[in-house]
Amino acid sequence: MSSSNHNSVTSVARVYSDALSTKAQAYWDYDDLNIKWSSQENYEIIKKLGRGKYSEVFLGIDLAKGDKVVIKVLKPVKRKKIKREISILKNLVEGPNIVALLDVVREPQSKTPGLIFEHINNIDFRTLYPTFTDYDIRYYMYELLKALDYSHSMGIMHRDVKPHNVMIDHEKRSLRLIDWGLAEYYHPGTEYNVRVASRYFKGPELLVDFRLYDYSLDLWSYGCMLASMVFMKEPFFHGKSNTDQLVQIVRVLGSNSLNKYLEKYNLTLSEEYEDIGYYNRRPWERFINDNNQHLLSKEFLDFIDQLLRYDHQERLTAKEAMEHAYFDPVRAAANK
Amino acid sequence: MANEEYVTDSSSDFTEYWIDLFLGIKGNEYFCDIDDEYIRDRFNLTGLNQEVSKLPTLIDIITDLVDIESQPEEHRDALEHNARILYGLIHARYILTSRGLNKMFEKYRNGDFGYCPRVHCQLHPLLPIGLNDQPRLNSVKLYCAKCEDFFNPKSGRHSVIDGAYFGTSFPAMFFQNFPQVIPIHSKETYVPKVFGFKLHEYSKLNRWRELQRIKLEKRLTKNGVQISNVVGGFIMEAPEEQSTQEQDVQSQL
Repeated sequence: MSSSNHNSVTSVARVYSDALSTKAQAYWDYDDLNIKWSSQENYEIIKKLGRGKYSEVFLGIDLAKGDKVVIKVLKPVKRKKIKREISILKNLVEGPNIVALLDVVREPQSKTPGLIFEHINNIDFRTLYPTFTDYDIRYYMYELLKALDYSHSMGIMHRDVKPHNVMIDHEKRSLRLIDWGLAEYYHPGTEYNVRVASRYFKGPELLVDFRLYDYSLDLWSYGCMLASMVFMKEPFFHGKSNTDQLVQIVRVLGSNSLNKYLEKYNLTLSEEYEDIGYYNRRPWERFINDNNQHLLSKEFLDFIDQLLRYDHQERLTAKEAMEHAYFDPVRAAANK
Repeated sequence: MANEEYVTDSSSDFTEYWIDLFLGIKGNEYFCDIDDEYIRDRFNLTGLNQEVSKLPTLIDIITDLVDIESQPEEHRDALEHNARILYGLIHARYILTSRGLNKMFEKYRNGDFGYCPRVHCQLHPLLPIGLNDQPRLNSVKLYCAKCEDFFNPKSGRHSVIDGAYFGTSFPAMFFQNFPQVIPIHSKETYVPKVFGFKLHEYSKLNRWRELQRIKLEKRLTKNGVQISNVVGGFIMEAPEEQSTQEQDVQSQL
């Protein structure tokens, strides 16, 4: 990632580009966010659930209500990042399928912040997804779009969409998009950090160092997730490094469209891509096999083709995706 | 400084009392000085001839009537060894007498037995105790009257000393004799926390314990038993807070 593409053609989100300009500055200016910290006393740890790069996560209990909660203790990071996560979670708290932030607490001595979330009775996606029917996938992926469309309409991109961050309570058939630690407010024309998202879900814009990206980044990650679920190939683009990640994408989408994309935005690949080689576009049908046939449909192939596009401006938006024929059965069931 | 000289000075012409020499050996800090008259009174030594041989010679060595150098060379090591055992066994008896208790009280006040390692005991001085009265069964342990628990000595020199040289009765006898130094117990306990959050399983049990304790306190107070801020009792908050405290704990259970 040595050379960066600063002189590139500008790009603005096709939708919700003015989401923030219609809101008060206090909505997105998290620098001035005043956090009211509650006492830790009301929450106790039951067991450790896991750990992330930026946090330790525990199953906990709300003593006053007796409810299970998730306690996310943030590792020491810049105050600004903590404020950003809390600001975004507070702005999205009413939204559909967005994990509810219940409380924010702080350890009085070290000032270590803890975020208290609703608890979702999740099963690991590697166990759960293979049991899904075609309809299950359509149903949950439609639910996920609700969360994405809502956050985009609120001027926020998630920037870390992946199965690990999608909690599904299969019994209740409910889904929550979690971990808004990398999420950011979208201001048109702003250059963002390309070191976001997890490797297998990084959009081409991140890999070619195009910093003027927008909400459409989430739809690439979403497409990777969907492709992996339907084709039963985990992960769908299996890069061994950030460089190799782009190579894996080119092996599917082909070199011609990559070059068109680079040309359109006046981008150049950095030197580590010198010997990237030439690949023909691989048709989506090529990924169909006996294992995944039961999940496939014409509508799906059309849908995935409109999501996994190099050019972020060509990708479906969350709202457009929700209107796609792939979700006809889901919308029909909802209207009953 | 002087103590160290005694240890290394074994070949010197300069004579030193056997007991002073013994007390000066590193690791023997727990022992007090036994009066000559007590050692020479055979009544006090009843039964000890079963634990060591040549008892009369050993008594003479301890009380400096006989110089160990005057003994045949091949017997010296065994005699010295047995003299030390005998001193220990007499010591266990002596420290239960009123003179012995007073000497141990001074050592207790000086912290010669060390201090309790438990944080909430706030460096309360310890007392030596044996787990058995028979020798060669267990090494000496240290008792803390604040937490009413006992501990292994920190140093290796102390952890090889026979517990029988202090006996099972010593600390209890000590506090019978000096009831004014029985400490007021602290109710503070360690609460395990992770990033400031208490652990739920521990806390559930702790709240239950707390409730039982409050109930017991109430019952004792009702029956006229003084427990708050008295010797051997507990450090207490103001009594009017107690009923709300109980409600708090009960509501969280």
